[in-house]
Amino acid sequence: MILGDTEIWIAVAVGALGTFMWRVLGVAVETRVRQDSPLFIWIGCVAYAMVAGLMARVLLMPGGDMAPDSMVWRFTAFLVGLAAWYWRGKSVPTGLAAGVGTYALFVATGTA
Amino acid sequence: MTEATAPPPLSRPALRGMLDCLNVPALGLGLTMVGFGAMAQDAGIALLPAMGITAFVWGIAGQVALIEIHAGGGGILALFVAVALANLRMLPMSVTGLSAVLGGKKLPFLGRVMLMQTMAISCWTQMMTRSDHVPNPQRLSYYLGFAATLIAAGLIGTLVGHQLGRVVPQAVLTVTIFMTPLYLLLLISGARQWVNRLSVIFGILVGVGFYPVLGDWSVIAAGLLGGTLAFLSAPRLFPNSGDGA
Repeated sequence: MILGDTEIWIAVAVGALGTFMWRVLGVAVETRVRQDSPLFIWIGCVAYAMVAGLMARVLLMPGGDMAPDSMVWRFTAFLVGLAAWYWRGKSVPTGLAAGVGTYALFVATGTA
Repeated sequence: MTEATAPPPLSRPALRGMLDCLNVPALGLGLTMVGFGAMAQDAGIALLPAMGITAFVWGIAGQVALIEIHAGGGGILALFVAVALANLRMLPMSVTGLSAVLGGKKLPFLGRVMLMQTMAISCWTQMMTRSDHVPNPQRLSYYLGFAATLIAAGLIGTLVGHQLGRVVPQAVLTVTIFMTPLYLLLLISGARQWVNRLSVIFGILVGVGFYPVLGDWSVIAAGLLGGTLAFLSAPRLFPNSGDGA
């Protein structure tokens, strides 16, 4: 079971098309929009907000898990990481270590 | 780019990109793809197509959507719509990421498209918020080193997960799946401009708040609604920051 059948490769091709088209469109838009225009700034806002919205959802509700208990622990660990990041002069390694460490503790002790 | 002073040239920009990737980005993505490889194996997908999904769909949300719909027999159209929906973020990411990658270099249209095909959230965030140390003429080499390493990590992760199954203990995967979004959220929260920091805040609120109602569409709501709110409110909230429109 290495090569797979035709059906799955068609699915791969269709899936690739579903992401490729946005990237082609993105390049086409980029060549037509001035970097200092309000439209470009707005597109940047949309990009940041989309990435933030998706990452926050994956962080708090991975795989669509909306059980309130696990969400509370994830949110707590996120706040610890955010606070550590901010108080150490926006140090990403510090915030990451604090947040992941807190969450690992919850997982290890079976709370989360 | 808005750096006040140009950083000194790097001696080996592509190698530097690889090394910068061989850290949280490659570790987080590699382990995420171990989970994906195991999931593909469970869904009865052979090794090469599983790696093909990682290489060509390149984005975990779209990859999972593809597998779920394929396994559920949802049909080609449903599969296309789901993957396209999961990957809409690539449009604004390509528009804003391209100049951060090229650093003023000129490439033909097809070359630029190929470059953007390798773009992922981790690459985009790196180029937007964590590459002030890379001078403009070296940004393309740096990006290629970073992106190639990330893709290699993704393919190796898929291979390992597919062949060895759930070789990584569930607790480790759970913590890893927490690490990558936290890392990326911290990076974008430190965005240089207030209008983008506001976008992050509004994006989080809309993306999480609307998820129970909208499901995967909440990402698009986060972008359009959250991004527009930030765009409109930034000039009023921070009139002297010189960011907004």
